[in-house]
Parts: sequence; C-alpha cells; structure tokens
Amino acid sequence: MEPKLTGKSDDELVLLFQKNGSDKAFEELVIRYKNSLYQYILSLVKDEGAAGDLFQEVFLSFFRHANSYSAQGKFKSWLFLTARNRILNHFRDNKQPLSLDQTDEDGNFVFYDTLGDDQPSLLDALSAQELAEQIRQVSLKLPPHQREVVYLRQYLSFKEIAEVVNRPLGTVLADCHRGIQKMQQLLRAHIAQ
Amino acid sequence: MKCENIFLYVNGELDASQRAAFKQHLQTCAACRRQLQFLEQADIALAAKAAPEEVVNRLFAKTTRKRRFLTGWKPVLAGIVAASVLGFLFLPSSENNTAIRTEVLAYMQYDLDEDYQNFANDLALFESEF
Repeated sequence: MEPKLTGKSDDELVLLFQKNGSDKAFEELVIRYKNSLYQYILSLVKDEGAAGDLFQEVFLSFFRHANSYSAQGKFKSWLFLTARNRILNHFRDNKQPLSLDQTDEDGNFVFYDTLGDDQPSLLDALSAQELAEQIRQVSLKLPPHQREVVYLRQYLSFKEIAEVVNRPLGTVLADCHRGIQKMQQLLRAHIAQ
Repeated sequence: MKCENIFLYVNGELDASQRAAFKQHLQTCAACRRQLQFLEQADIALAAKAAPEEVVNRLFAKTTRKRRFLTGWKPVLAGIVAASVLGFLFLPSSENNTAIRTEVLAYMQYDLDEDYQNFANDLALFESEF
C-alpha cells in the first residue's frame, strides 16, 4: 500500500514514478495540474478538441520519457514549458503562425493609470456574473503573448513565467500590464455599446 | 514604492518590507486601488475551471490504466490465446487451412493496440453517457 501522496512535493512524486513506476504518483501529478494546464492550453488554442489532445500529449510525453526530467523543484515550470512547445508545434503544423515571443516594446515596465478619476468603475457598471463572463471573453481577444502571461500569472510566479516564456522579468510584467490594460479598454467599449 | 509593483504584490512575490511599503502606497494611490480591484475580479473570472473528465480519463486509459490491463489474470489468458494461435499455425497443413492461416497472419500484423484504444474510448464515452 502506497503512502498518502497528496502531501508530497512534485519532485517526490516524480521520483516515485521514475524509480518505482508508481501509477498513483503519476495520477496525482495529473490531478494536481490538470485544470491549470488545460486552461492555459485552451486559452491559447481556443479549441476544446485541440486543447484536450495537447493536454494528453504533454502528460503522455512525461509518462513515456519521465527519466529525461531531472527533479530540480521545477516540475510545474517544466510542464508549462512542454505545453508551450506543443502549442507552438500545433500552430506550426496547422500553418497558423502564432507569435508568443512578440513584445510591444523592449525595456522596463511603464505604469500609467488605466482608468481616469472621472471614469465610472467597470465593476459598478456590470453585475459580478456578467463581469466575470465579459472578462473571460475579452481575455481571449488579447494578442497571444499578452494573453499567455495574463493566464499564466494565475498558476505561476512572474519569475517562473519569465523562465517559461524565456523573456526578462520586466518584459513579462510589461506584457501583463498591457494585457490587463487592454482588457479594461475592451470592457469599457463593451459597456459603451 | 512604485505602482509597477502591483502585479508582484497581487501574486505575493514581494518580500515583507516591500509588501508593507506597497500597502502604504495603496492608501495614497487611487489608480492602484482600482487596478487591484480589477485584478481581483480578473483572478476570479480566469481561475482554472475543471478540465473535462473525459480528457483526463482518456489520458489514464492510455497510461496507468493500460498498464493495469497487463497485470493480473489477463496475461495468462493472452498466453493461452497466443499458444492456441501458434499451435494452429504450426499444425500439419492441409489445403483447407492454408488460406485461414494466411488470414490469421495478416490479422496479427494489424494494429490491434489502436483498435483496443478506440474501443476503450468508445466504452468510456458510453459509460459516461449511460
């Protein structure tokens, strides 16, 4: 009987799977990241069928080549990086260019107010449920490199995001800021309609 | 403390002193307070929803559950079937069973694994619906 796995770290589970072939350790890793990984993939491919296939590919690849991952406390980053590569391949295979490496500008993060004092709050203009739905809708309209960061920040630290997308931390923060800013602009346009 | 730290603040990536300084900054910066409110709403709206069960079940069918198929009494059964087929193939031949043997050999080269997978997927779908 295997010990309880829910309290174990990612690397402990990976080691259990690598050394003992523990199916339960593999399944625990899948359960731990299934929602965030699926949501990340879906946010970029915008197609449930393709998202399901890519999600499986990521974990199948780990299942078959688990020994190629060396436990360094970065399993989560490794998982999202693998997913990112699969997503890029998916678009390449379908001859649909997807640029995740684009940035609006190099350099440091520049903050400026996205809502002037005289503008009504978006939060007041929409009900909570409608607001959540509209936020989801407008997030899908963001340029891919901004959308990616806006979603990834739900699951990874900015330092981890910078590693996964291979961009400087300042650029990642700038992309996130611009993504959030654009979402607010799109929401305002929706309210004005 | 600058407004740009808002994302690191929301993600809990500031150290204790930076966090305290940003909290103080929030008291005087209306733009950051509004931004913070919006980010909290965005976090709720974009929080990961459950991945479809069917997707996860299909993954397990291809990995951990497939492995289980190879354990227990099933390999014994598979061995008996294989021995029967081999016995049939290496029995003294007659004209009648030569054609059958050819068919059996062709069938053995067919990708049964894919067929089994499709069947398992159909079954999983059926069970989930009924």
